[in-house]
Amino acid sequence: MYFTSPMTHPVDRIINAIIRHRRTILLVTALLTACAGYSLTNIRVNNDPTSSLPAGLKEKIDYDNLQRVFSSPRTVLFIALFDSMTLTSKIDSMVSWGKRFDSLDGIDNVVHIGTVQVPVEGGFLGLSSDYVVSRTKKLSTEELRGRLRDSRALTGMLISDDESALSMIMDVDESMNQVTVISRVDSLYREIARTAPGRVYITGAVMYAFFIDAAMKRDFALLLPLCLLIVSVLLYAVFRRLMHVIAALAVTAVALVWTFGVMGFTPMEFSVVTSIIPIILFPIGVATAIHVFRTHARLYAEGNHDRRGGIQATFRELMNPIFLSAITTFAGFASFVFTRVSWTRTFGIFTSIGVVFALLLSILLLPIVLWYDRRPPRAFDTERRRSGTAEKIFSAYRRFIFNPALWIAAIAAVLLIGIIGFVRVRVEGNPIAMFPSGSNIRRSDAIIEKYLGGTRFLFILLTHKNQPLNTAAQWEQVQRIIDYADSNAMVGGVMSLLPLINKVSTALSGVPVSEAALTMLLKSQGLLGKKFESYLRAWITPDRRSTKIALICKNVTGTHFLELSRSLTRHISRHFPDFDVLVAGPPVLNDVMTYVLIETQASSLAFAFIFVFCILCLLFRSIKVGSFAIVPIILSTLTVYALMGFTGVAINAVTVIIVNTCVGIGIDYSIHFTAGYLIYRKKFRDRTAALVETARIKGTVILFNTFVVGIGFLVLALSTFPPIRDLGIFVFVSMATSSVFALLFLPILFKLFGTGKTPALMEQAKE
Amino acid sequence: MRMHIPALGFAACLAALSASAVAPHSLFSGTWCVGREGLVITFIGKDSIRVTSLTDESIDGRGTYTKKGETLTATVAKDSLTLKMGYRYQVRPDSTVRAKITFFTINGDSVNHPRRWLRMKRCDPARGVIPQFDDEENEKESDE
Repeated sequence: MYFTSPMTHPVDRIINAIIRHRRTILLVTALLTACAGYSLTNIRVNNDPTSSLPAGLKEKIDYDNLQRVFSSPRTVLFIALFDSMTLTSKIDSMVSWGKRFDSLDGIDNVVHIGTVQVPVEGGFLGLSSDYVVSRTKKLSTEELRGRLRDSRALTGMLISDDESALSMIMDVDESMNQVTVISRVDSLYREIARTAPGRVYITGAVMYAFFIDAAMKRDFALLLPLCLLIVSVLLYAVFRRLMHVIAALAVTAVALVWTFGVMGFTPMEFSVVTSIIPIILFPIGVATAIHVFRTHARLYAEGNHDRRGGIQATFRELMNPIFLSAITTFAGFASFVFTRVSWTRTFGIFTSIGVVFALLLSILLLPIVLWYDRRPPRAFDTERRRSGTAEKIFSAYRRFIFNPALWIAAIAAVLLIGIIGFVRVRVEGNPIAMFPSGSNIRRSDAIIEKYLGGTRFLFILLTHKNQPLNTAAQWEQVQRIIDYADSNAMVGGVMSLLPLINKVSTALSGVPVSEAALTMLLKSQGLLGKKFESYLRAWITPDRRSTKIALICKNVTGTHFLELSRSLTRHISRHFPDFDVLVAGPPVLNDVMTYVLIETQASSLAFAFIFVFCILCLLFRSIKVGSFAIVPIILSTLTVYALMGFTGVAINAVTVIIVNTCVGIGIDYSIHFTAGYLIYRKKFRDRTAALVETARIKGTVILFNTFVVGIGFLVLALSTFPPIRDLGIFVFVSMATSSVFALLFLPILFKLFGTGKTPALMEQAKE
Repeated sequence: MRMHIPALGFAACLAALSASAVAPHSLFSGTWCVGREGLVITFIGKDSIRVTSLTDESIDGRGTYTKKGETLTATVAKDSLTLKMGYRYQVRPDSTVRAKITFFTINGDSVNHPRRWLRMKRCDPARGVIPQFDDEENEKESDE
């Protein structure tokens, strides 16, 4: 039993309690870890980018309404690009591949040029249906071309005008496990790709999630161990004590298991964004251990050889900065709690939970590690003699911080570059843009764009206000609406029920739209058979009141789809008052997502800065010191934005977290420097000496910390998924700029303006 | 994109045609298969027919017919759709029937119709007795 005096410092009492109950703490930690580990199995993975959209968006509601009226199954698009084959051979290839895809379990319906049936002259009514590519007659190439030409409006998306690109659309059975089905599709696709006489590609919204999923698993399997290895090596290089390396890693590992254990208890889903939480938490978690072990070693070197006293002194010095760092890091990530983007929100929630767990476990477990470690700590570089090079660098640093001309120029340069770069930052809501430029999805996108009219499908839902759509006059109005939409430069093609109506009308009555054809098509419910009815069902509702028009749009950057949808809605509402109109589709959602991302970035950043500033002011008990401490991170944030602008890296559902990570982690360097200065200021007569000593003692710790944390993040640069790669690079950059700006600009501010009234930490330091 | 425009009403007319073409009536009551599209016509009583399909169970139409000389008129109505068709017919020595449309209206509007002869044969789908058809489109016999 250890006696604790009533006058003992609160931190000492905490440390005493931890050491006294160390076995209980270890046991409870182990039990909780086991429970959390069990809960990990409940985590659900969802990498479908569309699922990250806010549920309450008007455009999302519109699209959901459209889906309710015209349910569209999740489809995979297969594209083949042929060079020098006959038309018949190309079609034969598609038919053969189509049969193979159709035989896959989980694939419901495969449509390609060989399965398309169109109205043809013949049969009982002079109008029958036949395959465009006849299955009973051998057609010559010219006959085939004639049929394709005649049916262009019905086959446009399946074969390009120059016959070089053919596509195939397959429906995925939504009742089956999507990953399993898509894995089968992907395997067959790869098999076909190996022997295909042309180049083949595969794409579709359902494939995005599959490819992201695959990239995530690849990264998780490669990058996390790599991150661990690098961090371990760096830690060992510093600690030279395996136990300390293991302790530093174990604290974070347990925090991670707890974090994801909590996720397993919630309905929230694991995504590619949450997959980077471990790689973010490891450097953050070990950073605390670096400060603790290093400070403990320094105090030991300064003569504090008492085991308990050394631990207490270490935590007396570090408790506030550690707590402050954790709470500001927590704020940086918790600022995403209010975002409407589910991926980002989940990431924010669980990263901040992880930060809290890492803090708690660091405070609980690291004193126990130090207690059990009876060997004297190894002295670090700062306690040893500095090398000549280090001294030269330090001298240059001193010259800079005490030379107004230099730092004024530096601040001006940072501001100028920051503002110029900031205005170039792009925000991208289109999930396709997240894939590498050479990826299958991007190539497919480009090919469809080039050969088949476009890759963005926008839908117009027209509902007649008074009666069913079964008169020629009504369909002539629909034709005018289509003509108007088609005249827009962004629209590469239009699909609707009208080509079929035109075909049947021409065959029956010799005019494009006839009452007889409409009656035959639209009033013969059930008479013409289920296949015919199912085709009609794709374009017109059973009550014949609503029809769908699909606009095949070209891929354009910016938010033009939202503008197009609004202008179409306005035009139709104004000129066709008999119709209710709804324009919706994935490209509109992407555009809206862009605005949501901007809103997320602005609100989360504002929240993070305000929260961090308040915490800094509160814990340093000085608005002045809090204001100074936040300056480096503001400049760092501006620099990161500028670099993103200059390098063309867009803010998307993943990279939106870069700047908040910068604020949440980068602020730590300012905190540690400021806390150090407040302590050393009491030991020296003037500010300059205190600043030099702070920079000497804390500078190397901060830089080493930056190096370890930054390298941990830089591992993400090896990711195969560009947004994760960008995240890794820019978080590393933000760490570097945050630490360098803290070391460069805080001394200037403290030298010029001081700290004002003695803040709390100075009082604490006196103790 | 699959389409099926077998026109039940039309088939119904054919059924009616065959029923009246091969008097006495009792000889033609029962089930007939029409063309290669799998339409099946069942004669019920003196003037009623039912048309179904071998390949699509959702096809189900009912109608009536009248016969006058070598022509026959059939009508199939469902909801607000009324199909009316006139035929010339021939009974072949092999007990099959050939028919050709002479007029076709949809809700009273006259529309274009085929010029080719079509054929129907007795069948019993329930027992798996389904005759094979030549390709109607290859029947190039001109108007008579």
